Amino acid sequence: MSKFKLFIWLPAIAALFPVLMVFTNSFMSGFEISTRYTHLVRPGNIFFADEIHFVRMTLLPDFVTLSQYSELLFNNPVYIGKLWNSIALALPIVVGQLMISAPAAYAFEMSRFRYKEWVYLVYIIVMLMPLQVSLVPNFVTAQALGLADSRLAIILPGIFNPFGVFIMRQYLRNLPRDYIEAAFIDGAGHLKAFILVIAPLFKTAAAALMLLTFVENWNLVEAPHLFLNAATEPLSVYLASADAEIIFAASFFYLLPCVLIFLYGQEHMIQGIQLSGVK
Amino acid sequence: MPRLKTREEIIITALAVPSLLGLLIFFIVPFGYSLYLAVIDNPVARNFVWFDNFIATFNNSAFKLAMRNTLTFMALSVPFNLVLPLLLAAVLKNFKHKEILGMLFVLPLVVPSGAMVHFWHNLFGINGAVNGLFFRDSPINWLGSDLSLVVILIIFMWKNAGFNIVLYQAGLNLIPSEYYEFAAVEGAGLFKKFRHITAIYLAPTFFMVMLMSVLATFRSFREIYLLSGAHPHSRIYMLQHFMNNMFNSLNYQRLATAAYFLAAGIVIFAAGSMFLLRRVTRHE
Repeated sequence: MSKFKLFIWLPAIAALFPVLMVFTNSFMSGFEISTRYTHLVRPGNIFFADEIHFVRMTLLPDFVTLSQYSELLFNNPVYIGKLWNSIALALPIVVGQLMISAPAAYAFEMSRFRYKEWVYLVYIIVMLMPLQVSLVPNFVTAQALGLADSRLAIILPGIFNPFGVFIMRQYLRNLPRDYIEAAFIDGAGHLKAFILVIAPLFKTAAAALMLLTFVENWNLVEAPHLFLNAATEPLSVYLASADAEIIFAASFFYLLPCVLIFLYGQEHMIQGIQLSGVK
Repeated sequence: MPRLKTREEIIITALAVPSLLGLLIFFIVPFGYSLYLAVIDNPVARNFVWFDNFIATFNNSAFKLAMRNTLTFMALSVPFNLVLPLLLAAVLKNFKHKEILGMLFVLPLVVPSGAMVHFWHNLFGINGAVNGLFFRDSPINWLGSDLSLVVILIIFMWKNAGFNIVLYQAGLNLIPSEYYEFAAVEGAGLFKKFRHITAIYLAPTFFMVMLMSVLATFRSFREIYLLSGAHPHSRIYMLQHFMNNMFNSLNYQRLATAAYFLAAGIVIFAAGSMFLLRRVTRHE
């Protein structure tokens, strides 16, 4: 396998490099950022007015300092506000999506309703629709319910996104039937079976769903652009125009929750991806 | 499975009601209402004009540009995203540090786009590191020229390759290793093994990866918007840019017709790939 070493390690390092860059550069001083990463074409002096000052990227700052972080967390109310906006979008969606999807997935798997697979097909079709399609009905409903300029215009459709039902049902399908049947032999009804037997077994699927939903909704761009104003926009939109002197700490602090939950629950996450791809 | 009593049947079906209601209110009903919006002249006069709006959208130059760019990007990115992750997953299968490497490939998937904007700017800006390293004498305007498509492709691959690697890994693990061992005994080479074992048993995965990759390209707007705002170079003016303009001007007729065109396209594509998948797996 040694002949493939470079073929694997090169893209692996390329995958890590941008994140690593942001991490190490978050310990750079604001002054060093401005000398290294100025986006302006800076005239050296009046005789070389058109000389371009190229970016000098580095993994190792000249001086290591926490100044970006202290500036960010203690001196930047705007950033904290946007951080809160991101949380206020992602958290309700993650919780709501789980509470709505788990029982629905169970119902779809267990019900004997004759047309359930046709109804389920509608779920699949809605799930396949890209934002360019689904934002239109979301917009129509938001207007009708008077939710324009409100977080609810994003949170409510997020909660009812069929993706959750799909992932949970995929998981349920792969469960051994014995588990579920055991619950009936004990004489439990469906409701009891769901609460006592299925819900605990859902833990893995729930973790996968929560991870994927959080990552997705922590990274919203299209919907906030459409439904929210400058006061309620989340970090994802704000960072494109954030102050350069704190940008690396601001970016790293923003991506940290995603990376942490990924490291913590990567088997769940990978299982979630695999479930979303198994037909 | 024990026979269910009617009462049980009702309870179990009721568990799906909240989800069904939400789906109806936020997706199905308004999408149906959009069809009505698509066949009237405007929300005030409400005269039926049948297919006029569809024809107008189809002939709209901004829509055509957005559609052409989105399809061009798809034609460019999907093949890359089908082949490279497959090669990586295949090589990774027998690799020593498979876990840690797999993790590195999936990492970009969880990194939010906004956190990387500054990095990409530093890489591909006029005075960015790429120009600084390779094109010092005549810097390339990466984001302001046709080459912007290449930049978006690189970012797309960086972000999405991991997802496909995971799917391929799952697919490859389903193929019994004995098949390869038998083939090796028969004297089959790497290509023959791929052609007669991998290609056949991986077909379902392959179709799924293709579908997911096509859907992923619709998200390229995210990076483009964060990198170059609402008015990018015309080469990377995507469908979402067009939709945003229509949202801003509250042009319901354009929005609804564009959404229906797109939805029809995706349903046809998905149904087509499922049909092909059935045929491929039947000939196995």
